[in-house]
Amino acid sequence: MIKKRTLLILFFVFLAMLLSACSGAGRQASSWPDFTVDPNGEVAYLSFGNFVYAVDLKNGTEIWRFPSEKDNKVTFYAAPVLTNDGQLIVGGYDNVLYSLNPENGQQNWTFEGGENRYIASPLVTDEFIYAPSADFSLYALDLSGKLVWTFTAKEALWGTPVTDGEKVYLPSMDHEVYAIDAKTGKLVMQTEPELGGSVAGEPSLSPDGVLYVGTYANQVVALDTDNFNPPLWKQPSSESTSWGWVWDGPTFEDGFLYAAELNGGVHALKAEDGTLIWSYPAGCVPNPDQLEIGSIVSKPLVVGDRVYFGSENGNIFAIDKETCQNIWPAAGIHIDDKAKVLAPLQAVNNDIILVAPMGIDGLLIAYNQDGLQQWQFVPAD
Amino acid sequence: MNIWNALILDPMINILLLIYSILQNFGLSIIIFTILVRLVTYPLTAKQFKSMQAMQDIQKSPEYIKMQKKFKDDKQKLQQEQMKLYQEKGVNPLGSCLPTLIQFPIIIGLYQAIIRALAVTPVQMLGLYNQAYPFVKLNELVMINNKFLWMDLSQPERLAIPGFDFFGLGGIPVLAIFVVITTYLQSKLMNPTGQSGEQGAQMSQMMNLYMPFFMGYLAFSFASGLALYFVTSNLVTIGQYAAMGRMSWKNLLPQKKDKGKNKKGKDNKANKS
Repeated sequence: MIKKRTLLILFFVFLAMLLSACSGAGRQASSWPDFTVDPNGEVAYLSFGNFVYAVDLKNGTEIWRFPSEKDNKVTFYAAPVLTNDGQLIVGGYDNVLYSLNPENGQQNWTFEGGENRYIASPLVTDEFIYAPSADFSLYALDLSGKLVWTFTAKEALWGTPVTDGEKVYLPSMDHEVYAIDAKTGKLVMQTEPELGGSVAGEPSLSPDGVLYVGTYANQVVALDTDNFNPPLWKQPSSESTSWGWVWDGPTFEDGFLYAAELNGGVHALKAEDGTLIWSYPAGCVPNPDQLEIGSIVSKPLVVGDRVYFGSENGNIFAIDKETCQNIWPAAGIHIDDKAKVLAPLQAVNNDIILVAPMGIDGLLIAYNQDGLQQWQFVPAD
Repeated sequence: MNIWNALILDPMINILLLIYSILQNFGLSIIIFTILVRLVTYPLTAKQFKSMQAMQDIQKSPEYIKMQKKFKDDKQKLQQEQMKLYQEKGVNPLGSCLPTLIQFPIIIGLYQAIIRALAVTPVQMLGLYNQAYPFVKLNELVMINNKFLWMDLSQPERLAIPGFDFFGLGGIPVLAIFVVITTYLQSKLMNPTGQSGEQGAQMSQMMNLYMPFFMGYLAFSFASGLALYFVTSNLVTIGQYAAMGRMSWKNLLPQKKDKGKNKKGKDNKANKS
């Protein structure tokens, strides 16, 4: 009888383990790595999993990591951001916003007023840190980490806001974009009616005061920062079946916009009126249907006459900004079968392209202009 | 894994999303989804009920009781004879287990479906985009409201009462307690205690005892959406059984007859020693 009871208990323990294993709990990273590069192009600060890493961009070696010892309760996925007064600000999935010393990774202060994870990077200015949280709130702190004001949206905040100095433009998962007074946190205006889908990425702000956002309604929307409503234009003008969600961006460059979407397309638009200039791969490569690009989550990187982007299938692409012709192989440079390139690519000194793939040991990989790998950063255990 | 997604997970996610698009309440969507699952698996449940009833009828038959007495000192022979009798009567002794086992893929699938549909992180959101069927207008549904009553359906449930920490758990795990109670009620109402000393009955008693705590543990540890499924599923199953007119409410009460037999069993053990 005792033997049977033991067997039965073991059976239940086994079932509990099976359920935990099959459910995927604790097995999968909650997001992809993301990073920022210091203005001198010498150090990259990368968030992934339990650590924030400082990586030497000369050779891809680790300078420091935070925290120095692994703490399973603390994880980071939003890119750290440098302030002008020499702080590195990073939000964690432990609901805490950290200020670190970028020289050595020592903690300066923490802000623990958030009630959910920080999925997006904060926006920093000379006066404030604006930290969007998944608890629906945008926290404005002074540079010593003291809360100045809070603005609360109707849903989680996944995108980094932008500012023109007077207003903060806040994208939200509640399908809205909010304009908030940068000093007081008072709502100035919001999109009405809502945009038909969440706004998850960082918008782009043109010098002439137009805000461009990508939405889960498969569109790029242009908003006048003096008056959001109605939008200046939407591209595509109605919900498209060929475009997928525009998760991030778009990227604004010299009067043009470059938007990527989850059905594997990259599109160049005229910023003035949203006119479509080209769509990659259709119209750019001989047999577009044979290309399996995969979802493109992050906004394209525009450097010189090239547009770079990475895809969920683990490929990175370089195409001509004017003609959308492939510069690197048409199928892209394949990093690894297990790799997914979901974080934005970044350039160092307009020369080296940095990629932070997910799913492989290498968290940061440097490529030259010819698409040749220079180094990769693999953190030591 | 792709087969699992294609056959179990993707349909579950999309049905949940479809129900949510109508109700705009994820908790209610889980309840409706559970009722649908129980309706779809009703033929299996009915088979389980019938199989259990047939087993109980056999165990009460004079033939079976006689056999137990005759081979009480030769367990191997007793098992052989029991199996023979089950075969003669056309009853599969595992017939009542199979539908229970089928619950586990559903539980695993539903747990994954709830977590993925709620999509509270970017990776989950990207996965949801890839798993949603074209007819589901995902852009209109996202972000899905994960609040139901006092619960965050993506997190284990605790009812927080100011000033009362409930043994350091941060609140009372109300749903987990409900899961324990309803699982116990379900097993007691549907699994009458068999003949004492008989192996199947012993296993059944142990299952009745451990299963509620096991399910309660799952409800305590995993997202509360799963616990909501457990409670709804248990209540629907009890309702289905009651509708078949086979509910044994007296099973909830202590059974004198069994006590006597247990005593007999103890006497037998005492004699042996």
